Amino acid sequence: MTQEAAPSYELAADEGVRLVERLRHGKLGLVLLPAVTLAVAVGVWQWVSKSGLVNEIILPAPTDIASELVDLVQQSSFWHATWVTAQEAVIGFVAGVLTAWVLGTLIAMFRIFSLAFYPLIIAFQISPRIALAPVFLTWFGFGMSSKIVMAATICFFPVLVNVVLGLEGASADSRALMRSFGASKWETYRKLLLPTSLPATFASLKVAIALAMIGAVVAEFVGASEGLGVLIRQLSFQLEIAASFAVLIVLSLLGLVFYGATSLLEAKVVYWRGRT
Amino acid sequence: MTGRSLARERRSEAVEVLRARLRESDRVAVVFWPVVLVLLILGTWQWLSKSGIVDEVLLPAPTDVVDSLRRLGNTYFFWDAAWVTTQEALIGFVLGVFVGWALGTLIGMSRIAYRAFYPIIVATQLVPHTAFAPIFITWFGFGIASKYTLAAAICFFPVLINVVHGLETVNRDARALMRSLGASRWEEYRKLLFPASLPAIFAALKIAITFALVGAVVAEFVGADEGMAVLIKTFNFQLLVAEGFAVILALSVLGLVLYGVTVLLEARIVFWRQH
Repeated sequence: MTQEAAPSYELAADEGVRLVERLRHGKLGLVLLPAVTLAVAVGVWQWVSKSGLVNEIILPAPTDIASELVDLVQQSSFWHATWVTAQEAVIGFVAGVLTAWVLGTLIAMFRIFSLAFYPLIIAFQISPRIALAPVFLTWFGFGMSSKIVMAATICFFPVLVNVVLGLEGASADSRALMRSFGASKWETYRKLLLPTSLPATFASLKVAIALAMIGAVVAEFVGASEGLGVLIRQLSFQLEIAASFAVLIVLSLLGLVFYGATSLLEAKVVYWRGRT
Repeated sequence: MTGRSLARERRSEAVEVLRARLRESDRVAVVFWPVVLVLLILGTWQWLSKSGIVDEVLLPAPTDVVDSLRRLGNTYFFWDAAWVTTQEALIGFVLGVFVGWALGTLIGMSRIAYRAFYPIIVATQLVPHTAFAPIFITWFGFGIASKYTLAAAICFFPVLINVVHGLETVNRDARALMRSLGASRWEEYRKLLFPASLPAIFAALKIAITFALVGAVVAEFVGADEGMAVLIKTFNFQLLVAEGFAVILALSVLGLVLYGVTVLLEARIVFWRQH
């Protein structure tokens, strides 16, 4: 409810970077062993499916999924669905992040906002926001807008929390220094607080983009006319599991591209951020 | 930033700030302003709905939501739905935690398992799990099995990663001491590694329980005969938005209760953990 499935995503990405770094330090076993395990796993999967041990309709073989994927990318309807979901996620992400950033700044800069909003934020974080999907559908219809609102709602909170904690994270010494130089509140914000808060803010954007995707897909599950979520659902219910897996692969790739783009942006903007 | 890749909650940092405030600054303001804000929001909402600026069907007044909740509380189907969703989340949680803990222990204890499985498991986490819901429903049907499977699939990874890190970060000197005393691998695990990794595991449990509920809810949205998410969906599609909100409210309470129980357990079992 708090962070939906995104921390897994973030954790996995962090852990992936660590593993790749170890790999760079010349530990070949790190490639070889996983490659062997993976090959064995795929081989067993292929065999289980093709030998009829598990019905091929229920568990399609990896080769079938691959050929479905090849078919899929040749259809324009598939690219249209991808485009719809991508738009929903990105617009939702931008809307959610901007709102969170403005509100977070108000909360961190003005004590009265801070006092009033803090407990509410915590309460909302624990509530299952994903359950609002049907409400948004009733309010905003079966088109893209209900998905955008869901995506924005889900990715709003992690950003808000990080903006607030980031802005409040400036050390008391540097604040005192700014004051002793006679800096105004605005100058303190622009020259000290904002730069200090950017690493935390950008870290939360990576969580937010993954959440926005999940929000869009779940809202599509509840009710939509087009999109990758609709496609997965239709294909699964028509027992086209292989095609359904193929769409899942595309969805994962889309998520990776978004995540990568956000990480690049982070590296460019907060270039001074120390690597762990 | 050594603990960065541990599954910690950002929420807890916010809670700490709030706690510190309650201790130091004037408590009246800390309680007063949130109450004012809540009243302001509820008041505006009530007014918007009752004055007809927004259609009352689409945005029912808070008082109507409370009424609906009271009415729902007297029906059997509401409690049935609540029970179904609770079961799905809890079974999924137990399954996910067990799998995450078992795999995490295997990977944390054995170099070969770490190298062979860990990169692959990490890679599988880059798939948005919730998108698996329709496939799980095709596999396991419209009953609760597909719901707890999705819940388990979503909540096992934070546990796994915290177990792996928890085992990795155990003090090297302590391990050397155990070995120099001639402890077997099993003794080393039972007397040192397991207790030392418990705080990390419990931190993950709090995340896992919230994930489990999300998994149950999403799977119910995709296809189910009963459960709270089914109710939310049905009510909204019948334009009974007030009833829909009432169930969402109840679901939030359920989430809070499950979370609270996990926190209590943590305080009991890993009592030595610093705050």
